Amino acid sequence: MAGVSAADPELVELRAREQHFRALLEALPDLLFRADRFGTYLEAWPEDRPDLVVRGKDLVGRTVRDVLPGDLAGKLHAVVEEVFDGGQIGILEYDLEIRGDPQTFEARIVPCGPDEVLALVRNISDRKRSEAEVRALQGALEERLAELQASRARIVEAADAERRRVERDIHDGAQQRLLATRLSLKLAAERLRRGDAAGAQDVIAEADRHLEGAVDELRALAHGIHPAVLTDEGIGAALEMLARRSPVPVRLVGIPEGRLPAPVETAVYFVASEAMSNVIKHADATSVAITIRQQSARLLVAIEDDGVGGAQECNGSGLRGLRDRVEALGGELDVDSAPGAGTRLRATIPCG
Amino acid sequence: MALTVLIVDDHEEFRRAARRLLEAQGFLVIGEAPDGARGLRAASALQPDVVLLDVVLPDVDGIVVADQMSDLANPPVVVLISSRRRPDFGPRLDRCSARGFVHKGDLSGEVLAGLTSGWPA
Repeated sequence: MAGVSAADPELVELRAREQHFRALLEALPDLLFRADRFGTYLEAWPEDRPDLVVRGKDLVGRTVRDVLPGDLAGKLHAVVEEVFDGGQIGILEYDLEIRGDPQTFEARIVPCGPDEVLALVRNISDRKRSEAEVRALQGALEERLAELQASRARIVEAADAERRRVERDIHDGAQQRLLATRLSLKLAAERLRRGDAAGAQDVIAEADRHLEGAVDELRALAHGIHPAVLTDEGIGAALEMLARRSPVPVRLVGIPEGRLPAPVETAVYFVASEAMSNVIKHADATSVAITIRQQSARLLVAIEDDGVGGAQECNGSGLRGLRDRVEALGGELDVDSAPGAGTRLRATIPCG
Repeated sequence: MALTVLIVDDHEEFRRAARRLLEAQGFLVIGEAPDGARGLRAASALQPDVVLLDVVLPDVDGIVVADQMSDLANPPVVVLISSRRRPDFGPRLDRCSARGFVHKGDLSGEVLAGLTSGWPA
């Protein structure tokens, strides 16, 4: 101890620096290893931590290959060699299972003396998990957006198809009857000109039947576009009308007395109307129940039949159009239709 | 001698009313057909003087049928008819070989006589 005293300024300086570095190590979130170029651990910090494969002090003297899986040890060795060759920092990101728990690390390896390297290893599992969560969220969001765009396109397409259908119905129905009526009236005039009053009367009677048919068709068409009872008297009266017209007995439960917002009434009506037309066409049912329940700010509509079930929702189907209509209002549509077990259509529509 | 007419239209009600009116006004309706293919066959077999041909048929475009009829051995005078108005069809109607176009509601023996005048009866 000769020449060394408590007051030795060099020793004081050295102790101060040691304290300084120790504080730095304490503050560091990383694992720190010193190793020789053959992968033998010379020093490890900290002594122990849950994400260390082997306790720090047990590492010293062992090699990377003793401690880590073979392929990872190989990759680390390759990076160490690059660090020696290039004299620059080497970075390796790797996954490692620590006692059954998968973790991700990032090692930054720098030369440290002639045949040694220093490795700062940071556990980046949390960051990776957050990134994965963000990616998953983003994926879900993109999927939702694509679905939204597709449903918007379907709504536009459905509206176009509906317009084409209405044009076709008018063209083939009422318009043809009206044209035939014009020709019949011309024929009546021709017969009158020739003094054939009885013949003219026959044709006029026939023209009247054509006109009656045209009026009926136009009324049915207007009803299909938007039933007047729905506009004038609301969803309760419209559902009662639907029930009265149905060849299958319909039980109405919880029909609201007052009026609801027009888009909600329209959606509820078309859900019920489409469901009823499916029941009549396909279900072979003996009874149907239409139930409405108001739950705080939501309206629940259910149409249940005791028919054959097996309803399919596919593109271009009425059910798909209903789902789009309901979802456009921020609602949801559920279809339960196991073969042989009847069909239950349920829509939940926000109704604030 | 009365001019003979073939009516090609997919609406039976209209064909019936047109036939009765034209017959009352001096034409002889010798056939009806509900679509383009059967219309073309009837025109070829019956050799009518005039064909009333709906522009919008369920199977083929009436304008195409009109051009095919003009290639027949004894081509008839083709008068296109429609429940739509002429401007609804655009310029392709002008390029068609048909003699004229009549809105279905405007059809009468007089109008048809005007369009077929000069036709050797």
